[in-house]
Amino acid sequence: MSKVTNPFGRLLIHLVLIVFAIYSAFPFFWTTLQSFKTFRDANSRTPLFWGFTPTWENYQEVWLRSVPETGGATLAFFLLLIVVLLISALIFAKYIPVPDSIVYAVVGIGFVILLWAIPQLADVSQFYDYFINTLIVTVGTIVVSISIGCLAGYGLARYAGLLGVIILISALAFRALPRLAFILPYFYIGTVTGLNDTYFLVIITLVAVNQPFTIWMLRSFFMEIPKELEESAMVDGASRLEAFVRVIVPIVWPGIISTALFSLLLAYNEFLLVRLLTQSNWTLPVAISRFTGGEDPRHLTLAAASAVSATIPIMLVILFFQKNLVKGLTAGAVKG
Amino acid sequence: MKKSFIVLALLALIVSIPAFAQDDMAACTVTAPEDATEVNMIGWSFPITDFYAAELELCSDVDNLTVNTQLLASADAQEQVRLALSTGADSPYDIVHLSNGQVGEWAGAGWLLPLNDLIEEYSEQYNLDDIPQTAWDGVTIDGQIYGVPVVSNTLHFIYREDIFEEFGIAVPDTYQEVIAACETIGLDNRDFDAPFTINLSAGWAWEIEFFQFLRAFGGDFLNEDLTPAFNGQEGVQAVELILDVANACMGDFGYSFNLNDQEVAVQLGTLPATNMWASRAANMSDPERTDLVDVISYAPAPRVSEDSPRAGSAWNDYYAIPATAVNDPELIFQIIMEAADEESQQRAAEFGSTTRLSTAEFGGPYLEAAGVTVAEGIGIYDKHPAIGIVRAKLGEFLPLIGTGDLTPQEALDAAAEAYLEEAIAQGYIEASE
Amino acid sequence: MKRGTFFAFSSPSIVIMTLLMLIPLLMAIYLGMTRLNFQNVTSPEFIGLANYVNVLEDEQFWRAFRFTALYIVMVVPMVIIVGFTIAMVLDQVSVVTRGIYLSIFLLPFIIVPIVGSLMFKQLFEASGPLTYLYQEIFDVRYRPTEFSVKAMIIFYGVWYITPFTLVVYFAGLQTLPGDLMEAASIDGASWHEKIRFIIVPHVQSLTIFVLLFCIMDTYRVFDSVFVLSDNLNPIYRANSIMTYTFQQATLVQNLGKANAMAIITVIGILIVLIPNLYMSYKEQIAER
Repeated sequence: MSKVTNPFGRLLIHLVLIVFAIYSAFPFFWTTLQSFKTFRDANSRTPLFWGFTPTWENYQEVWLRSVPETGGATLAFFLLLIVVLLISALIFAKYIPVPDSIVYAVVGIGFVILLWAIPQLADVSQFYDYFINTLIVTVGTIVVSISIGCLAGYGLARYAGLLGVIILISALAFRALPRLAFILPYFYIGTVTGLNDTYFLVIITLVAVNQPFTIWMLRSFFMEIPKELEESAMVDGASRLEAFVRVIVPIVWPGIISTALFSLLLAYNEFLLVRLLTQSNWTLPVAISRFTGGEDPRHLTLAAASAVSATIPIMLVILFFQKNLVKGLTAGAVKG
Repeated sequence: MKKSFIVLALLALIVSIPAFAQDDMAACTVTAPEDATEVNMIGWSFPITDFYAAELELCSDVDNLTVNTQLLASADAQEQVRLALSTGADSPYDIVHLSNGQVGEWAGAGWLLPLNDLIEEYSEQYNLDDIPQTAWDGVTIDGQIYGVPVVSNTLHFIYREDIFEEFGIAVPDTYQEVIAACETIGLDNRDFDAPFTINLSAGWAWEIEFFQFLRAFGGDFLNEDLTPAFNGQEGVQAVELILDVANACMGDFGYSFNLNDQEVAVQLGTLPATNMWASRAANMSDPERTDLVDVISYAPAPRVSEDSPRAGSAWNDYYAIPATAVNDPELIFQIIMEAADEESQQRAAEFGSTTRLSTAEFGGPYLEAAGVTVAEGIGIYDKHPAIGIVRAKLGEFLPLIGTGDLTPQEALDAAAEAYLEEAIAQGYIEASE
Repeated sequence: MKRGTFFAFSSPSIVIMTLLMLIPLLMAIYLGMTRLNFQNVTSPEFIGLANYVNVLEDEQFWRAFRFTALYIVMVVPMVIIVGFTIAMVLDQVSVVTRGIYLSIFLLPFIIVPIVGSLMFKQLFEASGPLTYLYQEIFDVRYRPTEFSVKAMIIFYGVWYITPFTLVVYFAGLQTLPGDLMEAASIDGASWHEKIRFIIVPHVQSLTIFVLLFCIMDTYRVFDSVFVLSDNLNPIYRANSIMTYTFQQATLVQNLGKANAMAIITVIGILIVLIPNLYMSYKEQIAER
């Protein structure tokens, strides 16, 4: 659309956007402030935006079972330094004179080692376990969901039969159904089979509820690829599967990442399903819901600290992949 | 550009880490198990149970042993226990927290392990006679003891001496006097959130208040034959008095006052009086949280009429072992004892009222009021499994009185009907023709 | 692609969806016909349609239904209007600036809903800045009431969903043919005429898409209701259909009725969606 040019109009435009940005970010901003306050400051009836002494206490209490007598600060410093180095390696991967994939693999292994090492070095609390659970469930859901979703999405993009349409439409209908209609039977199945409270049940059910959306989205990305591409590969003697893996998947990769981001948000965010299907292997949303019952006043600041803790990893991921997320959000829409 | 900012921000975060504080704790003395063992505890959190949870977790220092504690809001924790234990499969929990309210339901359903042998075996080592018989009685059904009492609790009256003096109000002994006091202070007094509150902020909270008022009026939940008795005349009287108190003291605001709000409001000085759990009263004398330590006073729970018992019950919280727990009960029992032994209860007394007689002297100024309430109060819930149904149904229907959907009689009748249906279905009552 | 190859590729996904969506759904229909609670989980007792009748006669279910309907009616138009407006404004600024604004605007969308509503609630605590503001302006004490809690839930819904509509409309505006706008300018069309006669028709298909997805997601509102109504505190009467079903299953411990309720919701949403599903079906057939 043609741009507004008069200076007053430009000012107004930025004013609107700034107000909307404040509106979007303010709850996060305030919660972050609260998370650094002592009990008294956080409960002050005059909201304190400044003039309080910041404290790490709430974060310590959320993440640590006991605080080390000495060397805690040094340890935290080095751990965070490693995190920063790993993230920097990711950002500047293309300047490092080895193939990107090796850099990514090394960083990935580095993070796994770090996650394993932290409990050996510090007396971490349950919250750390819940964090690890969340990572396991999220990664598991993404891997399974995207693998089978890619195959099905590709099949649905290329198969012209009526059956394909019926599957797509049923998937759309399932996408619309209330989750509790599945979760209550899952709980029953989990009870009968003794699978309740396992990663397996949580991951497989999350994959299932996520599958309709995943295949629709991936299918739309596969539809954009001309058939001739894999056909020429198959003429060269590759099987359909080989052609798919070698030729198609690399081209659709950005679309796959977009879809994976949605699986990530779904698994990382899921509350109801995890709440009903696990009794001790909780993920972060369930662990944080502990602070919502209003039974201990200290929960005000602890909730703030754990809320910020749970948000930062997801913010980092999205900052890296914002383009893919936006692409994913608009994928189904713009064509339709 | 943006990504370099992230790195800079993280670096700034690192640089700003201040020195960590010191903290010392007592060690856990449980015998180390031979194989790696993970013990899970579930419960709900209030100050003293938070302390106990930390004590339990100390046992993670023992070789081969990890103790995890999972604390939720009370209703949510109980729901998780039901989800886990109802299935009859191996329990994910080794220690469950329960109160009088759940004893009948959970022990009656066979979910909990009788601890008689363990208690006998360890009685001397942990001086278990120090815990009074009444506390054990609350968790004993047909001679089987299903839990270890760790918290004794009751709802008592807490008020601001200075404000009561200013308004010339004597400490109320009955709810009629409470209502009069509220009228003196005034519902629209802008200095306060409300003159006085009782906790009606949730279904379970309604049910607890109702039970106390009902018993104080001489009524009870069930008749001998397990048919509902709570919808009789005493029940209606109880609800009506609760409503009178709510109308005179809390107004529209008060219904949303939960335990947190009550506690913080008293600490900040915006609530002159409230009914408070003894387990939370310790926070009222914590100078880090309130400037009003010197003027906050405690009194026994009010009566519903001059010669009635006090409308406060004798609660206990217990740690129990599920019947389907996978780990060695002896080990779990020892771990529970880490929290329930004399040394830890002495320190726990700072956070709430403990169960051991020998720790009474370490408790706060509220203990006397709590003690009188228990002694002159209405006792505890019956321990029949049907009580669980009554509580669930009352929790469902009583709040609808507060919202104006049902009259007291309608709500009680609806709860009674729902209870009957379920009790017949579960076989506690013969269906009548 | 042959049918055999198609099955080879799609079977893992189809098997999972059949095993974990279709079969559970059928199970839920059956479990809805049983008396099922935590005491008899392993041996449910068949009682026919009693639970279904019970749900339809349940005054509270219909109240939850009404609140859910209100939530949809309030939230969906609002996110469409706000999202569209901000997208139009965002379209006016340079590409770099957009990126920065957009990463802030996306924040509500990426924050875990439980956490987001918790953050929202912090603003309305006794110590919260919005509580303070309200008290300063109106000079009365603020306590949560049925009205304010419901308003908070709706407000949170708008806050949380707007980024989605914003991004969709923003992408739609990028595909607007430039020459059309120029021609309109030459013809002397005013800005509101351009919006009305060019932009709105251009994004019409997007609006249908957004409408469908928003309705699908808003009727399932759960997390924010759970947190903002203090763990489903009945005094706020703010149950949505989902939270009321959840409550029946857990707090009231009536799993049979909860299943029946879920199935009735399924039927309800399918009735709403069938025209749309049929349209999608036609579209897909036409594409072949």
